Amino acid sequence: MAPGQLEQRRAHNLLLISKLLNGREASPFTLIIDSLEQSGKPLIREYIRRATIAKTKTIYVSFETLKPPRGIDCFIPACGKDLSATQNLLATTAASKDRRLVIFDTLNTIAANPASNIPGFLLSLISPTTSVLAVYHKDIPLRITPETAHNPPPLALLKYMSTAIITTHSLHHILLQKSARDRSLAEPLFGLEEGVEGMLRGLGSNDPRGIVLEMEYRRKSGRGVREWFFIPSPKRASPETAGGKAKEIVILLEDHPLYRRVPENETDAGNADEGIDSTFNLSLTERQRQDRERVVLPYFDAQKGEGGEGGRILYDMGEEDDFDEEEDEI
Amino acid sequence: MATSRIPPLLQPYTHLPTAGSLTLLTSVLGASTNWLVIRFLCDALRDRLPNDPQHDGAKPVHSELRGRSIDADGLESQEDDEVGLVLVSWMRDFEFWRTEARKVGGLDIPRLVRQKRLAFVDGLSLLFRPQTEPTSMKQQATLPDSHSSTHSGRPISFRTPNFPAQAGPPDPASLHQSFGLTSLSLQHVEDTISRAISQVKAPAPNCSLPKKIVLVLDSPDLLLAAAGSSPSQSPPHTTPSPVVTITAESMSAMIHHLRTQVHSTVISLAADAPLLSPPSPSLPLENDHSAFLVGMAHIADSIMSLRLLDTGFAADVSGVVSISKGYEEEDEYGSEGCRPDWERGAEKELLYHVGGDSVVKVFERGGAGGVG
Repeated sequence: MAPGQLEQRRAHNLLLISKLLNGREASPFTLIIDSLEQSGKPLIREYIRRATIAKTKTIYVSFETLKPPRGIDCFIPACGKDLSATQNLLATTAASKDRRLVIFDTLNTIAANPASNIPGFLLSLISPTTSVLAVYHKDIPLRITPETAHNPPPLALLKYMSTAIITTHSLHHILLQKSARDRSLAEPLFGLEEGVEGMLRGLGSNDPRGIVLEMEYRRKSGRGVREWFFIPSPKRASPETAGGKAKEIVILLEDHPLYRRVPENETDAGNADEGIDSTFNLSLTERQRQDRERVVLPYFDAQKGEGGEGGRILYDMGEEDDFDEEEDEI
Repeated sequence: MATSRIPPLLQPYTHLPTAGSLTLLTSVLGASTNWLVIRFLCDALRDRLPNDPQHDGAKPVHSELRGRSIDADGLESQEDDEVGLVLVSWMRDFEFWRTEARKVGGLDIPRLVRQKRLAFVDGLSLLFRPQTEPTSMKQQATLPDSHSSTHSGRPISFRTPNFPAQAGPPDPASLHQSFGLTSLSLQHVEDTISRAISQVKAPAPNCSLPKKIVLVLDSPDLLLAAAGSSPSQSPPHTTPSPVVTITAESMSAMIHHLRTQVHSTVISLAADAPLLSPPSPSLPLENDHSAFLVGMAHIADSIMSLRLLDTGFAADVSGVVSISKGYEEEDEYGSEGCRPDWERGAEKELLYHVGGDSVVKVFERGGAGGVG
């Protein structure tokens, strides 16, 4: 890709993810698909952090979270409760005209219940002032009952509905996969996919350095934008954020120092200092360079004081030149 | 007997976890979590071991262990609080835990039960053993009788030498404090465990604060298998109960409610291949088990997975314990960040060996037979 193109894509996509995380880009329903290898909680945390800055009201619906996360405005425990009761509770908080962000820590519980109607439930929440952020654990299998055997799987429905899909990956695993790819080896698998009996989560999961996001954003026009990002964990990023306000910490995955591929021309530029590998010596010594600078080239004559001599042509006749007498004198 | 205690490498992981945390232990056939559960028991009830005869402190390993725990006290000052423990066991009876805990950590479980520092909820005997007199169920829950050995799957000869050591029949006072599950209904299970928790939680006479409760659930996945997802699959021995339908979600909800009542929770589950990643046209049980297991793994703050060696059998290695951490709620204020690394416990893969005398050695890969 040409450097200009990359620059443009970087600027464009970073702006997009920044708007998405800050809730300024219209994404009524953002779906986070996470796995055992990389939990979506750091991302939720990032959303809550930004929502607090933007004074957006955050409502956290918990199906599996015990302790309310820091910084939320309203915590609704929904575990083991009827979905309609939760819906009513949510409706009571919707009275005000403030911007709201409703966060679900997992949708699997609702999805596993064949009686529940996920699209209907979510659509009843979404409004111009309310956006929904929900996590779906992709590795939890669903029971297939005779009634649901012919229905589309809930994840397919959710993906169809959502305006932005963010899949989380562990940085450690992404780096390992990349290094395997670079050497044209089969990419390693992790966790459940690894197929080792008794192994739930591979090592290197939930990388403390940060979280890798695979984003798919759907524009209103229907065009999708796909991009990979990296968000450093807040502890590591704090020196940058502490000083100035709202410095964007998200970077493209390609710009991550460990992921970035060193371009070919960059390596050439590095070699140029030492000279091109050839039988000729093309470099100059300091003395040679000074001598060369002292040589006055002919066209400098034209730039001297009276410069405009009617376009005098400086030309030394050679032997082979055929001088035409009838031409104007030089 | 230095090795009878918690192996130093495991110490950071069995140490009293942070409030509200969930630790998931998974086993496969041939790599059981029993020894690990016992270590959690020992750690929770560690400081008040009565006249611990095995605590000689002569070995260097041992003094190091002690030094660490003192550091931990200084840093956290958690140890000042009394810790109580509720053990709910679905796969093993009281007798098994009593014997193992005494052998491994010198814990006198009946005495701890009397002191109301520990409550034992029996999920096995009353549910699955044919009952002759339901009125005496509470006694049967703890009485050592010969039938239990077949249920716990242990050879009888293993246990019989221990009987003389026991001072006569168990004290009747201790029996009143044990709980037994008599129905597969989740409501009953939850109520029984809650009663056990509240009993242990009551402050000790010389202490005003309620105890911190560690809830240990050993193989609650048995409920899924025993109750099944349809009423026709319930086993014949169960007491007549209404339609029992247990799904992964209802189990998770129950555990969620129980977690709100205790300081921290330890759950052990089976993670054999068919139960972990079922084949695509899966049976309901496989599916439910997998959903429950993976769901728990998502919530868990740390997972300790036991498995066999990938390379086959070895005489001096029983298996691999793989420890991985979930997402930790780190914040800018550094409440988590200030804890030292060894205490927080980084993710790791270690080898372990369970000797014939329940002595467990844990060592790094390549350092076989090293420190116990």
